[in-house]
Amino acid sequence: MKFAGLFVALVMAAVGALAGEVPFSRIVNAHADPANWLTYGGNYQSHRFSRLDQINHANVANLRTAWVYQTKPGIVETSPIVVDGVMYLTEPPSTVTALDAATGRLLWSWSPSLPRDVVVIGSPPVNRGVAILGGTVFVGTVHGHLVALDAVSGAVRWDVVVEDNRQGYYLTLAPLALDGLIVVGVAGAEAGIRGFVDAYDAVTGQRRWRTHTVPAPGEAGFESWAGESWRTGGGSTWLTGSYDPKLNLLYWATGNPAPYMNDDSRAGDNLYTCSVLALNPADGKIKWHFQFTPHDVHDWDANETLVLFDAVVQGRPRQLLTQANRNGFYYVLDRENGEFLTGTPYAKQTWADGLDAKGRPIVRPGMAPTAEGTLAFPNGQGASNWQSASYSPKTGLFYQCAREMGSIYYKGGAEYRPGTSYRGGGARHLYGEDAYSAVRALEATTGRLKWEFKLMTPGFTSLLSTAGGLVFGGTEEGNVFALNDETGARLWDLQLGGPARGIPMSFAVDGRQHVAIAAGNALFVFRL
Amino acid sequence: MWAANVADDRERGAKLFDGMCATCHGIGATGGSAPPLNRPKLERAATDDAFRVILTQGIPERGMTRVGQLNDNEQRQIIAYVRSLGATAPAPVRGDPTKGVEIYRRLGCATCHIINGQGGAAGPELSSIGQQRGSAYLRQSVLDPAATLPLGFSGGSVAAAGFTRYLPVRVVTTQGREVRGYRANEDTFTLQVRELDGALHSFRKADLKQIERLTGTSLMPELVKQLAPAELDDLIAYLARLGTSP
Repeated sequence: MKFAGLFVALVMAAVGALAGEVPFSRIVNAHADPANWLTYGGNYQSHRFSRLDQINHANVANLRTAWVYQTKPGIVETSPIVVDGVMYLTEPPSTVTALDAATGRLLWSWSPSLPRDVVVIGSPPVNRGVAILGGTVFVGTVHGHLVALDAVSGAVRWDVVVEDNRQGYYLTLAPLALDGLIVVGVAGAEAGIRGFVDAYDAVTGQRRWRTHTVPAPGEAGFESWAGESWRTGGGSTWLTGSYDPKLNLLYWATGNPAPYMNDDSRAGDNLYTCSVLALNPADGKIKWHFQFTPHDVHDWDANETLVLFDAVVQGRPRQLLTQANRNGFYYVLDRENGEFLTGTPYAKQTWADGLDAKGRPIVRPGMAPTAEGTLAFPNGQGASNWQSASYSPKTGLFYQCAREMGSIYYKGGAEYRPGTSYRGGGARHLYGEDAYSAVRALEATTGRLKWEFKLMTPGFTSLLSTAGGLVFGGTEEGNVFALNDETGARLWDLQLGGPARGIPMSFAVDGRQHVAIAAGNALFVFRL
Repeated sequence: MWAANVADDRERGAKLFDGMCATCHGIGATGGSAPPLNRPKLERAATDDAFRVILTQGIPERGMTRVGQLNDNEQRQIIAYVRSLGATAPAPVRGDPTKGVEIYRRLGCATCHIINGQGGAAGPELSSIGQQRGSAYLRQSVLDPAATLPLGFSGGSVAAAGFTRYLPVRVVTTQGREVRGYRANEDTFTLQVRELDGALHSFRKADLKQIERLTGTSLMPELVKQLAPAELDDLIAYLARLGTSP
């Protein structure tokens, strides 16, 4: 009896501390758990910074391949998650795969059954990763679903339709797990959707709230839309937001208004497109907003990484939110109230003569798209885009890969038909010998350039910084590299044989630090 | 009546194209990150049926996604519009292709170009060049090759989006060794150079003290300057026929 009781106690103890379980508190304290990568951005503040320092300046040149996992065909933009020796990554278009993080051997893989006529307008059919909460993994799909999978087996726990894919709604982002809530946004502004941020009960899949990014009649901000244009106003929410557990505020950024290059129908600022929203996670109510690009006509989505950190600005301690925006400016806001503190170009831009005291761009005349075409910088895919920035608390630097290229912006016809392209024009990107990108290290409180490292092609380079003093990234030509975080000096590189579109992250298993990044159709994992 | 319908189709097709296709193919299908489509022959869309397959399925291996949801009418309108762009610029081909073969031989073009498996590899293969390029482009390529060096395409293994292929380069190593040739490939950290005899030189950029990208030049000799205007027409007529059905 005594023995049986002990056995039960042992089982209960084991169950109570189930390996691989990720309660909310564990994500809040992600900084204390550097062996694991528990949420898309590494922590709720989206630092994409690893506190592991086993790989450092002295030994990074000795990195070797630990294992490689071959993915399904398509573009691989995933940021894996690692929990207690298990890696969860996504493959195009919406597959979730669990691997042994030590060897890369498959544990399970799940794919949705997608309709043949799935509507994906605005990006390639990609996926950027999963969220995990408790013992459940969450994925958004290109056919507009949010699916909860058992972390051990890959079995579906629930599957809900976020919004009708036939209207153009689809999901590519990694969901964000909060306390009992799974938060997602949608893509589809290029099809004239009306964007929103949604929160779902993590256990049941029931929707708790929806906050539209384009207000309806009677709501604040509605006056910034002419006529009926709000109905198809865009404002996608296609990249994972950030969260401040102390302020209990959720930060989510929004994309372009629709149709983006033909603005005839949508006079006004078009709130809350190209903005960041501070939301109460309990009910989704907007506490404050800041619009980076009012009345955008260049597809300058503001969905880029929202980095949260605290620092002294102009002699005063501040809780900050910063972003290297697609429009070419680096912004520093007070995340408690949305106050604009500073903004400065981090890449070539020709569309604004600067920002005014409130951070509103002083738009330069003659830069809007025309039938004949208008040359403007940055290019139509932006000075930045979905690729992750990184913030290192060790250096106080914000690392961003800036795309240095212009586009010719054309205004074309725009007629709304559900589930079809509603762009109103297009941009011809001026690739060529003069276009390039550069890893830029910005002083995070000011945006002042500390160093840059040029890359050959304007690509989609996500960055990881580490306590080992390194910045990892990849190039469009297929290189993976490590730079000195203080100087930008190259310390290591390797050709991987396909464009590196993966989002780098780091984890430890069996006491050994690993760095993972996808390139081409494979995930590469390195260790010493 | 029929003509009016066709014109309506083109006009509707233009609007659809601007909205759905122009981001990659450019307004007027003049080309962007995706190829120009304002040319008489679209090799992947030689028939309207083939065109419809591309619209509904995309060309995944080239990174082209399928085009939203189009009904049959809209497909017809886009096809009518794109075909009209190729039809409005018929490039007159003067000259005698049979004489052109002789001129090609006399100039020794085959030293550097392959046609149907025969020739040297220092320059682009020409087996289907008449299908891939219009005759006006071919004429310019022959007269001023440096101005019309071909571009790489997105996802291509030879250079990347928009980079110039066959770009002449001159490099000097830190040891003072000089190599001239054309750029076979390049990435952020390395450079591959081929000499005209095919010899490959692979460099780490860190080991080079000088990299000169000789934009505005070409390794192609200016042999065509020896040609009389009628001979040039004959050569172009021959090239324009390559890869097209006889």
